[in-house]
Amino acid sequence: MMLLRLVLVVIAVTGASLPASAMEWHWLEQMRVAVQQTDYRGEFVHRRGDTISAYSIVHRYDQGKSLELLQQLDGDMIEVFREGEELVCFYPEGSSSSMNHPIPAAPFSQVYELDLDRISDSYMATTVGEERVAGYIARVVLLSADQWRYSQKLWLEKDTGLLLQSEMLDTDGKVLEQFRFTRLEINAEIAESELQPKLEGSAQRQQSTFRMKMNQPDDESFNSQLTWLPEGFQLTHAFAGMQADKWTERRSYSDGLTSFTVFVEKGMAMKNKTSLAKMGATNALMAEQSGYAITVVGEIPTVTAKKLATQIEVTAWAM
Amino acid sequence: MNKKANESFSAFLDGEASELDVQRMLKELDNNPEAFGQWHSLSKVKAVTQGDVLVDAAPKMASVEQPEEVKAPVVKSWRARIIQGSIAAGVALVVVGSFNLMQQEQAPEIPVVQVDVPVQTNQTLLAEQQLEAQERLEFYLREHAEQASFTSGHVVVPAEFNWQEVAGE
Repeated sequence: MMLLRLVLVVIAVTGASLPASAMEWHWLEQMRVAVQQTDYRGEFVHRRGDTISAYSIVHRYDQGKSLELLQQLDGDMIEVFREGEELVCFYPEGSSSSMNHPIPAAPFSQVYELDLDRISDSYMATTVGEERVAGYIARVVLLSADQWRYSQKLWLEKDTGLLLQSEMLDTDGKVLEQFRFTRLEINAEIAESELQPKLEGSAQRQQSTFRMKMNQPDDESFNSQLTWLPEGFQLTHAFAGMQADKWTERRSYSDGLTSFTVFVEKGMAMKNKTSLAKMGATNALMAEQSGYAITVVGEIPTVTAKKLATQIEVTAWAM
Repeated sequence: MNKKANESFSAFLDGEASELDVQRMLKELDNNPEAFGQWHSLSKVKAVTQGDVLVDAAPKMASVEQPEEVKAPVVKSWRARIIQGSIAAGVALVVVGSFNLMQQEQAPEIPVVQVDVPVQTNQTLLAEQQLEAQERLEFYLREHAEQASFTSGHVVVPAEFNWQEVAGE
């Protein structure tokens, strides 16, 4: 009996001493599941620097698969239909929108796993109150980060955990990008007709992607090496091969919440120049280093992009 | 001569051209090569009226149409800056000195200097390099965005390329 009481006391004490952020991490996982498994329809805006775009979204979870129709409301009516891991993007006749752009996607809609242990190594989670967004009460969770990444703020619907709003913040707390639902119906009945792309059949152009199951990324045989990484980032994708007539080595890294990609290729324009450009939270740094073009693109601070660009070592370049 | 293209060029001279303006100008140059000369002349007229010192490094061209209005100021995008650079070099805009004579009481007249130089200058090459780099960057941006959507919570939007150059060295 004494032993049992002791065990209970230990459990109680252990439970009480869990990190204060434990609940926030639970909400984060709840959010990821909710984004993919909740039925909802709504409209959201996305602000990136000075650019604002608006979308409508209809989402249904059916037999273990997400069905989603995303429509761009400003400019050309681009439509994206997602069924599981297959995306089809429709463009209207005479569209000025370029197929060179990436296919639109709502936040976390394609993230099938959150490595909370890794994320919690890089971010500190705190609840900073509750706010009302698009008619729903949301818990506001701040994910504070070190100097190498941006902090993030998430508004999570109190009952379902659905992401209602998110922001990326620089070190001064300035909002660099914002996603926000302006109208939302959670647990709505989604009819089949709502998921039917309006442009299907009439669209002059369309492109589709299917997410392939990736093996463990491997850059062992690459001619270039990255000699420094901010803590918490891991290689998520690696490619080496010819792109636009040039041998290119490409690596993508993620810390679970944000990511960057490093491109290395031999020779290019902009000799002896370094150019830095930004759009919202995305920084792009192009540098020339001993005859190689180094490009870092990612949702990372300038200081991180600059440091990464100096940490590339090129050994032997076959092509 | 496309009136809208002229308006775009006027905005370009004022450093207020949007990406749309630049694209309109490029299209006009494709459709109407004579626009090259007309815009060159227009650039000289505007520069003189603004009191700039001129060094004319372009061939003599025909007369010019005066645009009727100037667009409201917009933030110059990275793309616009680069393409502006290309056009500036290619068309050989005349403004080199670019200091305001209104502030120089001792300058009694506007010096106009004719210099014969090839249109293909270092500036042209640099602009071409920048354009190539910018196209490369757009390609990289797409590849990064697609990967990011699988491993981060970043929203993917097909926003028009509107990079603002913030630094260069």
